[in-house]
Amino acid sequence: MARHFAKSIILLGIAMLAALYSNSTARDGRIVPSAIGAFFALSIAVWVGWRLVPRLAAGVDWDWLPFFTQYRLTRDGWIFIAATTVVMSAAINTSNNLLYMVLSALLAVMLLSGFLSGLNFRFIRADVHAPENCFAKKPFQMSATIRNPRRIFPAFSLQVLPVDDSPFEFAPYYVPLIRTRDQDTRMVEAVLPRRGRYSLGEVKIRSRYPFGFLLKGRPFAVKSQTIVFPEIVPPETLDINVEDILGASERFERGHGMDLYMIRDYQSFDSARHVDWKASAKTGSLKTREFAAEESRRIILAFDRYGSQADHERFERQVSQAASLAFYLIRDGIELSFVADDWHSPTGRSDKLLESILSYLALVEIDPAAPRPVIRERDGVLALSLRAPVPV
Amino acid sequence: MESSRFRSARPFRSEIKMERYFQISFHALILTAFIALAETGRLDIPSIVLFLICFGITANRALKGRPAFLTARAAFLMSLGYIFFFVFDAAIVSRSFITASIHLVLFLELAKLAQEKQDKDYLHLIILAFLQILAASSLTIDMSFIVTLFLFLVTLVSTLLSYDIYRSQRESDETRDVRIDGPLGGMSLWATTWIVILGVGLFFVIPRIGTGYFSRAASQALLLSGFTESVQLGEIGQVKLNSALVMRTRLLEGTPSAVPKWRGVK
Repeated sequence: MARHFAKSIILLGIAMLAALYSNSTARDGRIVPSAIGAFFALSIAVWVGWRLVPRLAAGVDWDWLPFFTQYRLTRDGWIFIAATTVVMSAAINTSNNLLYMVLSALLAVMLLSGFLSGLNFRFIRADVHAPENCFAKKPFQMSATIRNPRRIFPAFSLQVLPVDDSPFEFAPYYVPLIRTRDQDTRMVEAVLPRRGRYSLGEVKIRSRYPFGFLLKGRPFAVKSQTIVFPEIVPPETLDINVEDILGASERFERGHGMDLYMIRDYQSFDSARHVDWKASAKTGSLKTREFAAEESRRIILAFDRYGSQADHERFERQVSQAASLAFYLIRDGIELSFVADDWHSPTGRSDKLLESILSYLALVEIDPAAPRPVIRERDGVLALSLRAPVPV
Repeated sequence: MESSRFRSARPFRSEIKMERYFQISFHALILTAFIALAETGRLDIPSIVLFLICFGITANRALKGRPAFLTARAAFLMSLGYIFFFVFDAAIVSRSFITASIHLVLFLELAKLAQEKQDKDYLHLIILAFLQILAASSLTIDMSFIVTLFLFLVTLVSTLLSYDIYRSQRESDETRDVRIDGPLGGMSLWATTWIVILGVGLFFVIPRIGTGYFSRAASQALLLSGFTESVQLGEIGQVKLNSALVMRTRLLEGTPSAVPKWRGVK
């Protein structure tokens, strides 16, 4: 920055000396040195303007001026300014009143453009409702409402988009018009990349209204919170064979298992699907099959929070695996209890239980000092841990 | 409770679609600019008639949503081809560089109007319309230009307002078709009124500086009042202030007047 500034000052100083030389030689009537001096001065000035001024301008911090941070001149705006400059030059050169009239109108358009652009955002309010929870990397719907409480002026041409550093990713959408005392509500598909608790504090609204010369954008406060459950991976990607740890043995009781328990006389309330036709034919009366009940299927999912910061990615995979296992097991009707060192769930297979497990996993953090989870039972335990396995 | 103060969003029935509103404003803008140019008297009758016919046809097709006559490439090739006609026009048909240039601009405008248009083509046509107004303001001293300028401002504001919404809708694939003619038309009138009020204020406030840089550089093109054979009445000229001796007069008879006045014919 300082180097460019110094270079610019030196070059412009040289250009000024060349211009003075050109002026001096022109007074003496020496055309050729005058032309060379003028050409040299102009060339340096153009080069500085072309190469150095943009770099200097890029380094300027405009944040202390709210006007500059909210507005950006568009390509159409530059064209309009160029046109106004041409008209101004023509008006000054010719003193033509009609040109001055056109110039006045153009300046008025410019003033009104800034005023209407500011007015379009005045009193506008935004509201976003995200669901209480969702899954990481899985699109979810949230409702976004833009309100125009003004009594006189409609709001035109608003584009709603996430703020730059927002974790909420949603496709920008466009609202052409919100009438006075009216609102625009629509469902927006959003995605959150990682598990955790997220707050949506702002959305950005921008507009080129009224004439497309200025792009104004500013954040609007909203208040919405959501808990993002860990990503649920497809069952085939889980490298744990759940069937290995399921209780697959039968009890010698009636039930809904797969093995035959007994054949007895058919009762009117029995299902026709279970009629044993061969036995019925042999005995001459309808017989039905009864099956043995399966052992109750129950799993304890033990989750170990242990790990160092270097294990962060592995820990995230473990969290995702635990969430996926809980999800698939409960979906398949298996009774599950979840145990960690700092929290444990009751046993069950309800959606509420699943939600509590996923909520825990959404917020769980790696801890190098975390103890092993305490498990009393020995059978049907599925432990997920980053600790090195203990030799038996 | 607060939300009950607001009506829910209306169903998106549209009587005049956004695109149609824009097309009407846009074609009105082009027509107003052409009228301003025609009012200067620099345009010949055949050009006016031909332009109006072609403009009418293209406007009709655009407003009815029919496909354009020409592809962008065909319009480009035709415009290139017109350069040869421009030379012919300047040398033989119009015998005037300015008139031939105006014909060229009008042809380019018609070619653009008749072609398949993208957003930038609309912008080019708006710029062409503005240049026409600029040319008209330089070629006339008639105060009726103010009326045309006002109409131009109304259509310009309406076109720019709807142009931004029209292209933003297209950029964002916004499918909802909002009935926007009422609010946008009202806002156009409101904005134009304020532009006129502000413009009038600025017109009287802006300092008038007449540098005349170019006129000094091209002094041979000045029109001299009275003592030239090629003065065109109604045309903008400049009275040259020169103390050089141009003629000698002598009173042959009668009493000399205290303030002598001269009368002549061109």
